[in-house]
Amino acid sequence: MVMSSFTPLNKSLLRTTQFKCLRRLYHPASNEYVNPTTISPLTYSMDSIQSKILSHSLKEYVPTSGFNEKSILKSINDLGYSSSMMSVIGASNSPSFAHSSPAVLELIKYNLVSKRIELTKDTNDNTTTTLKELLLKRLEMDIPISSQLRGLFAQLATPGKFMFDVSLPELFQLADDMIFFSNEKDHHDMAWYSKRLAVSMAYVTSKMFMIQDTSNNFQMTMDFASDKVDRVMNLGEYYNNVEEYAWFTLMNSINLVKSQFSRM
Amino acid sequence: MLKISFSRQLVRTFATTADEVTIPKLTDILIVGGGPAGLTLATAIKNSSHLAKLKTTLVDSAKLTENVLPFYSNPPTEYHNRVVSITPKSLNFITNTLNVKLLENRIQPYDGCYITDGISKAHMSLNKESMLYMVEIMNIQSSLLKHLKELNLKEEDFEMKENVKVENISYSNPEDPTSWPLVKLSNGETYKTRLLIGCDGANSPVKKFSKLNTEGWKYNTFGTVATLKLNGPPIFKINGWQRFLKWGPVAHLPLPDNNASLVWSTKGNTLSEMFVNMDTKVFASLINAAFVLSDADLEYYFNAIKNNTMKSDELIDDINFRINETWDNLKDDSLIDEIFPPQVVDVVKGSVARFPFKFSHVDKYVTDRIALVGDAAHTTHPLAGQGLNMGQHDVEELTKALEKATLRGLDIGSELALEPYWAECYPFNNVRLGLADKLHKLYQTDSKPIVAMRSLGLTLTDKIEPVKNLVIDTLTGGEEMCK
Repeated sequence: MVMSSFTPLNKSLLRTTQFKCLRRLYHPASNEYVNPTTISPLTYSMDSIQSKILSHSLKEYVPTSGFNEKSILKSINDLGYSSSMMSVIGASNSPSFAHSSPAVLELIKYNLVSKRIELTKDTNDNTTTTLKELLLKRLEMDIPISSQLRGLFAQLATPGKFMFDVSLPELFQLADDMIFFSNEKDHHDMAWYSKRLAVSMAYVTSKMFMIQDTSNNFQMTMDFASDKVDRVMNLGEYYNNVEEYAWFTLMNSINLVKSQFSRM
Repeated sequence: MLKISFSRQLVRTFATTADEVTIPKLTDILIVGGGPAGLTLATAIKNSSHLAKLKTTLVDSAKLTENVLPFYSNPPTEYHNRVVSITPKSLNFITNTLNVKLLENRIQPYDGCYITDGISKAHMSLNKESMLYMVEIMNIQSSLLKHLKELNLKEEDFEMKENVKVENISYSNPEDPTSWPLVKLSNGETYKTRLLIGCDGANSPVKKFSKLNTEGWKYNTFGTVATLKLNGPPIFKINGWQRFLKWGPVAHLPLPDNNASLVWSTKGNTLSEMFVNMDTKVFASLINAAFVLSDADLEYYFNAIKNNTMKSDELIDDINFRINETWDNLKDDSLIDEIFPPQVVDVVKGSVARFPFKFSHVDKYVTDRIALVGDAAHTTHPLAGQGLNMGQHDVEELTKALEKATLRGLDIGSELALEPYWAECYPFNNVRLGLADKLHKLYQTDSKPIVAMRSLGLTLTDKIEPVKNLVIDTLTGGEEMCK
């Protein structure tokens, strides 16, 4: 799992400073340095030129033309930059023979990261937001680009460096954020992983459902997603009850034996 | 010179401090909690020829003599809502072994239990003459108190500290867990005791001090209790009735004459809260409905009350209509008395109360200088009616262990002397706690395959005599009442 590195967002910062007491002295102390202005895994800040071009493209052209170079190019022309910006945008991605151009991959990456950050921007520490609300909110964010989801999925799921470096980590990071920023309780055992995995699965399947959903305002997707989350929660409850009961039975058996040994 | 005067000053200071600390009173056994378990234990100790000479002190935060004792000489007309089902085994122990006279006219023996599944039609009928007894907890407590007063024990033998709380418990030597515990009371007194016994309920301070670990969980279930008024005393035979609804089991248990007691456990918070605040007449008809009508009907009524869509009179008429409809569909009118409890006409005002259920079992009941008894050691769901009886069994076994230790010249506070009590009671309680917990788990679901399986199980148990007898034996403690 990718742990969030330092981001300019207060909540993420808070999360890192929670472990301040565990900080080793030979590590750089986060509070002694200026926070980075970039949002990992992006290599530029939100007010950089790249960001301006990509967000403009996402807003204006992706909904109609999809995730491709044309959308980026139109956006570059709109904002009056030189068309060589295309290679600047794609600079952080290595070209791949199975994939589209590095700039398009950057557009996809930007889409995922900016929406993930946007999702939890307004949450605070004593949040009452539920996991379901966050999941639905994230799905709603994709309604404008709903007709392009098929293409997006194809790009994300193409096996290769991009999938392992960006799409999967982003997915788990999203699940992690949704759990962390909602009122879900935290776990310190295998449940931590299973919960994140289950939420990721719920998100991906809901997204798949969204691709072929033709209902008004994606109502069916939303119903599907909330049903999915409920199931994850129920499953979690079953798991906890079983674990609790198994532990009780184990202790019980030990005590039973111990109590009879005390007779000797 | 200076040095000498300085050291004198120091000596004086020490002396003054020592004066300020109250000298602890010594006692052999200190019982915290004057509930049924604590009082029975005190009586059992004073009754035993081997233990009677041990100085016993009982501490309780309530004013027992003022509030509980008068119940015996001047019992109220209406029955108290805290009623327990007591087994012949426990009753034998109290009345025959300890020779305590309970208020017999307020005890109701009953000859069977009719158990039905709320979703399927499966039922089981357990029958045995005077199988179990319904007793008010106040009856047990006040009878034990009266017995203890009548023994006219001297203060050096038995002391009862009422209306005082335990403020602090510590070891007299903090380094040594086998040293006698010091118990500081809210009236300023401190007791130093050879053996500290916690009969102080589920949130036991003694358990906290002992650091004995508890396993268990909350049920997220509330029990609503009430005293019921019936349309007349049961004609056919005196039965207890229990029906497993999807919200939890509801039990209707007989009291003398036209009285009965209700324990209705419901999942979550809302239903029990609704019951407590409801008009008693409406609640009475809901109880009737709970034993006759289907889950769907009940759900409809609960929603009607919640959303205020039906007037009280309308609701009562509607319930009566549907109950009569069910009765009319029976093959034979005599079945009405056979498979349904007597009709409730009203619920005694102020008797409706609710409390949460918890499942817990302490890993070990004893440690050096400390023993836990009753609810302090284990709490259970009341659906099998075992809570008080387990406590009484604990008392019986602890007394035996203490007697044996005294005879062998052991220190009664040592772990060695106390362990046989744990060895004897842990398996006994484990079976009963497990039984109640498994029944609760089995019946809290309405999933079809499980309902089918449990119904088959219930029907089979009803048909196979030896299995049925085993169930009866477990529930009654395997004894009959000797007169």
